[in-house]
Amino acid sequence: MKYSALTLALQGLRNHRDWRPAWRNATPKKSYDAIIIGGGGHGLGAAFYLAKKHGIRNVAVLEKGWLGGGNTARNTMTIRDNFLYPDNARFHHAAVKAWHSLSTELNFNIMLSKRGMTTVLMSERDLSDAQRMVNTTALFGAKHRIIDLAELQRRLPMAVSPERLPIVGGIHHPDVVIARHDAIAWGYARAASKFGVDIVENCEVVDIHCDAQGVCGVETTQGRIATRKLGMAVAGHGKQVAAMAEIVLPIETVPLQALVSSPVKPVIDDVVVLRGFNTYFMQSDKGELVMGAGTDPYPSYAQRGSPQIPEAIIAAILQVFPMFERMKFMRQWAGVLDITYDNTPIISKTPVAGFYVDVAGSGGFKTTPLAAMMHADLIANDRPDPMIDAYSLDRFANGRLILERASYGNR
Amino acid sequence: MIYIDCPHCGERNEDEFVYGGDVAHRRPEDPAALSDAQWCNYIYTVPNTKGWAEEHWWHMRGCQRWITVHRNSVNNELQSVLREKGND
Ligand SMILES: Cc1cc2nc3c(=O)[nH]c(=O)nc-3n(C[C@H](O)[C@H](O)[C@H](O)COP(=O)(O)OP(=O)(O)OC[C@H]3O[C@@H](n4cnc5c(N)ncnc54)[C@H](O)[C@@H]3O)c2cc1C
Ligand SMILES: [Zn+2]
Repeated sequence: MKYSALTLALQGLRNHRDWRPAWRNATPKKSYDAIIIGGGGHGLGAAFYLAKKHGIRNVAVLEKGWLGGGNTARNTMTIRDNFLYPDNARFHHAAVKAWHSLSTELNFNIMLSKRGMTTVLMSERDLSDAQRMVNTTALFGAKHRIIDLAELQRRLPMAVSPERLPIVGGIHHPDVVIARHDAIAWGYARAASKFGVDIVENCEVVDIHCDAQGVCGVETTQGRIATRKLGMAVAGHGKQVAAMAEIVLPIETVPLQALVSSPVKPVIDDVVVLRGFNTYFMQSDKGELVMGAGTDPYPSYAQRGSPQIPEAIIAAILQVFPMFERMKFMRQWAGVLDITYDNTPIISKTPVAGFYVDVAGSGGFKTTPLAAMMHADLIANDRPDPMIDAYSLDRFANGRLILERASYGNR
Repeated sequence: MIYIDCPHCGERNEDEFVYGGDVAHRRPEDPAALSDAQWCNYIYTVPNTKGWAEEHWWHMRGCQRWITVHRNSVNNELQSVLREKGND
């Protein structure tokens, strides 16, 4: 069923009786040409591009829980390209662009919204770092721009006056967008399913089988399934899953939290980053303030996080925006990220033939379409596109790390 | 919030402490004898255990001593908190 205004109107006339499920819930076959482990945006996207761009349609996505129940449905949706290092700057600039045609391509409204982002800078050092980032990313077509105090106050009139905090200026990032996070999982699932991809929920991969040629299948809670091509996009569980093929991944599983206030009328358009406080927030389409910060202070697989983080986030935002003082804190949650030593993705072949990994490395909602496209291309052709050469697993052994600690703003 | 029962100070909130890594992630005795792959493995790869592991924690905002905490990373439950040799 094609989604359109006409379909909606016709369904309305029939009292919405004829809507069908957006994707087929499949039971796994005995074998596939390719299998993707992990039904988040990255995994479902990889299956979609395998089917659409590479004609590989005998594909299954195996998800241990429900679609998008991992970080895909837990993140704060910010899609940005303010990265400092050339390999990252190039990749993330292309990654942001990859979102723009997605609603049309998937025939699913991902609710892309061009909010823009404003970073508040609170020291001369931040300002000179920002200038460097703006210049570097301009080489790859990004349009970040330093703004002075007067423009910052025009954009964020409700912020405190600079007499109270050492606010020295800001950065405006006009190209930053947000998108409905679950819609990515559902949109890819629906479009992939149409191509014949099997989407299997409640199916956990518990082992990976290999023979002399490389990968030959997976053991799951729904039985054994054969395949010669296996892609992995499991976020915080990458270490465990890769270990099933005796691959050691240099990642650490760390919670990242977000929290929301109760909904209010629109007060703010931009995603706001408080650089000195390592905190950011925005207002969702529903009206809630969505707030976040850096990762939790210690590794954990518990998807809940430590309470001192929300406390610090709220304290920071109230210092700069005292007008939000009376708002009610509604709920808080965490997802478990796959953090690499250099905070940068790994989209790579592995020493096991036919086994490929897509690790976000840090905040990877923004990279979902491009990473999925590159992962699919890697699986189909068994060689990395030049765009992801720098994201190979062997960069740790040969010293070609991309130390993106200077990554600007939020996750 | 995890409450950590410091053997020197008693029970305190987790934000008095700093996580110091998995006890199993030991510096190799003789780094010069390692292959590049083994050294790289030590530098960039932590055990990242899902489940029970022994960990170093530093009571930074308390007695400033290192202690060993037995924690389950699935639900942050603690089993034992012990003194560390050379730190009592
Ligand atoms: C609070 C928070 C805020 C964030 N904010 C941003 C942001 O603003 N911008 C940004 O770019 N990024 C952000 N991120 C990061 C982003 O959400 C993730 O990097 C991204 O969504 C990862 O997508 P994924 O598809 O790889 O992982 P997931 O959506 O986590 O999907 C992985 C799936 O694999 C499944 N799985 C695991 N093990 C197995 C197994 N053995 N067998 C089968 N299935 C398995 C899991 O159940 C899960 O559904 C945020 C994350 C969090 C938690
Ligand atoms: Zn103590």
